[in-house]
Amino acid sequence: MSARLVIAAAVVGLGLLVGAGAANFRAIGAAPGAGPAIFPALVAIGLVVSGILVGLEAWREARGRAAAAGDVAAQAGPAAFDWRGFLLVAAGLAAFVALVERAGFVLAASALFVLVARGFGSRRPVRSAAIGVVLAAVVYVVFTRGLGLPLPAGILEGVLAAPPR
Amino acid sequence: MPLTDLAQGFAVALNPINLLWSFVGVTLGTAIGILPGIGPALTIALLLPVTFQMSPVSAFVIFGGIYYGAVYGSSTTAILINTPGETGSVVTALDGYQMARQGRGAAALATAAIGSFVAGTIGTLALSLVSPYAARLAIAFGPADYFALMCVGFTAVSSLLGSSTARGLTSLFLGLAIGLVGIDLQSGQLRYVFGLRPLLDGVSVVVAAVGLFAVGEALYVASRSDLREEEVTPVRGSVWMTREEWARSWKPWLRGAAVGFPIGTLPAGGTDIPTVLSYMLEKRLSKRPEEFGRGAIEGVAGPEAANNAAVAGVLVPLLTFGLPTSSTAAIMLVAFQQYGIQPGPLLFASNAELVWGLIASLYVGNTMLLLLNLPLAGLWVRLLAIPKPYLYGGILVFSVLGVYGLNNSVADLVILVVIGALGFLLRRYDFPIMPVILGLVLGPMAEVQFRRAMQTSQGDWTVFLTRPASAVLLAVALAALFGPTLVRLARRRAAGGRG
Repeated sequence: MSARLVIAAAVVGLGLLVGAGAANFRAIGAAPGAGPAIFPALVAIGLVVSGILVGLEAWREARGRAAAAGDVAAQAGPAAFDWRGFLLVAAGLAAFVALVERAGFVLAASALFVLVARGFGSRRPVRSAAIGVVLAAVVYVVFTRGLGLPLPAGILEGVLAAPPR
Repeated sequence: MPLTDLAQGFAVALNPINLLWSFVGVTLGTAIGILPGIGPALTIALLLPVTFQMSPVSAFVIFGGIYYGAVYGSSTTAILINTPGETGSVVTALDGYQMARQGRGAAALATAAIGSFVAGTIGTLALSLVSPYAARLAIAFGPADYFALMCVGFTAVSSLLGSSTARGLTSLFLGLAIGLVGIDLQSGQLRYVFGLRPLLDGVSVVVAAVGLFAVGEALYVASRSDLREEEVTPVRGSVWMTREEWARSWKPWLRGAAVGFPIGTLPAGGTDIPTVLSYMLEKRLSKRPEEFGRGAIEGVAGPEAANNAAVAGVLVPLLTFGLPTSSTAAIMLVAFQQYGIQPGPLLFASNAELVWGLIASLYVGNTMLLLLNLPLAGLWVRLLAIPKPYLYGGILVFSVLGVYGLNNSVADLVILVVIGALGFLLRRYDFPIMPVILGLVLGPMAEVQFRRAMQTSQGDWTVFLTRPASAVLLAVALAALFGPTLVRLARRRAAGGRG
């Protein structure tokens, strides 16, 4: 089954969810058609209809491809999927979310930078770590000192020293 | 009288501090236009937490500079490495890259920069002349008319851009659905919050834009090892255009401006469609159409003029009706709202200094861009020496910084990652991103207008059909929705009849 059919089904499902939610919205004093439920209901209908359209399109494409069997170009799907790159970038994001308030912005951002660089094919972890740390530290200092936007210092609190208040 | 207003605008724009901000904006804009993976919409979204501490005028001077600068910068990469930084320069790459390979890259860069300057100035002039009248027209608009106008924006963006109306509509409704989350301000009703406190205020447009444009894009490019390599063609040949190249360039510049500005003002006009139209127009008018695709200078001059004029055009509906027609304009609308300013007909009366300062700064920025790009193109291209791993690492560091900096909230980061995953799926399966952003930004506004119209009509649906402006606009919306499909069917029938 093609991935677009799965997406189409998910969109229809989301539409049903939005519609079910809309059925419970109430407001006092609104004219009929002017309450909080009407617009979500329209969006729900839109999601269901466009999901079905995408499904039909994917189904027609799949059938067309089956008919053109033997035609190599028609059979080639999207380009090869590089799981390694994808997962490394995803891991970088997860690391930042997990670390930013525990280990501080500088360490979390450095971890993000190193993992993303690795995901994009960098083979020099020490160099990318050095660049990542410098970038994160500069950003930290500019934002907390220069612009007065607080960022968590985390376990490097002593090294970075609290910004003057 | 626009002239005195514009003069006052220049007084604001030429103030040394705003000159400095304009310079910062155009420099940053050129840089992000050249760099792949980061565009003007994402840049402005990331700057919002920082610029919020400035005066609105300074912030918009920066944003205007970024928007104009990005269009300049992306033509440089289109010509030199056949990789347009933004979609508005895809057409430029066709002949520009061929010129670069034949050693006429410098002439291609020159005609793009001068053409952008000429057309950008014409476009900004048209913006200054047209806007006050458009604003007067907008004053007569009631809620039903506004809702209908937004419907035109919705359907045009979903069906005219991209290859499939069904996928465009899916993107649009996903954006509208995300926009529903949070407290309904008119009734106090909680909608789609699922008991999660961070969702009470809804999904921030900034978080969504960064998720779709930065996180989704990074995940997508990382998953495609074939997208990671490219080669820079060194700039060779004279840095100046020959007499013949001037003679072949000036008419395409003017025609590009004439095509770009009006189409830029239309919903879904954006900067892409005018460049394609300009290219086709130049090819048709040329005495040597066979040169197109092999390094015809008209094929660079026309589209590059058209996309700059279109950027000025996009600002007309944004400033006068509050209607964004591109992702960047949508983020600029959010920036206005952040300052508590609602773009629309009253903007010209209530915030004259801001509007005219912004418009005047566009003239100034355009001049700066010519000086910044023409002699320095070779220098700018060195930005591409940044290895992709570090470039994307940097983009993501600034992305999480921008999102975390909004509210110092880890929940925002989680929303960012979830929307980034959505953006990845959309990119991978060829669903357009722009309708999502537009649905998210315009959806809540459309709902307000819709309910206002229904409230005044006491629940009578015909209000959308009895007001002439609304009826006409809804008809246009339907035409935009079904037009491309009908054209496709008609073509298939014609082809079937012949074959």
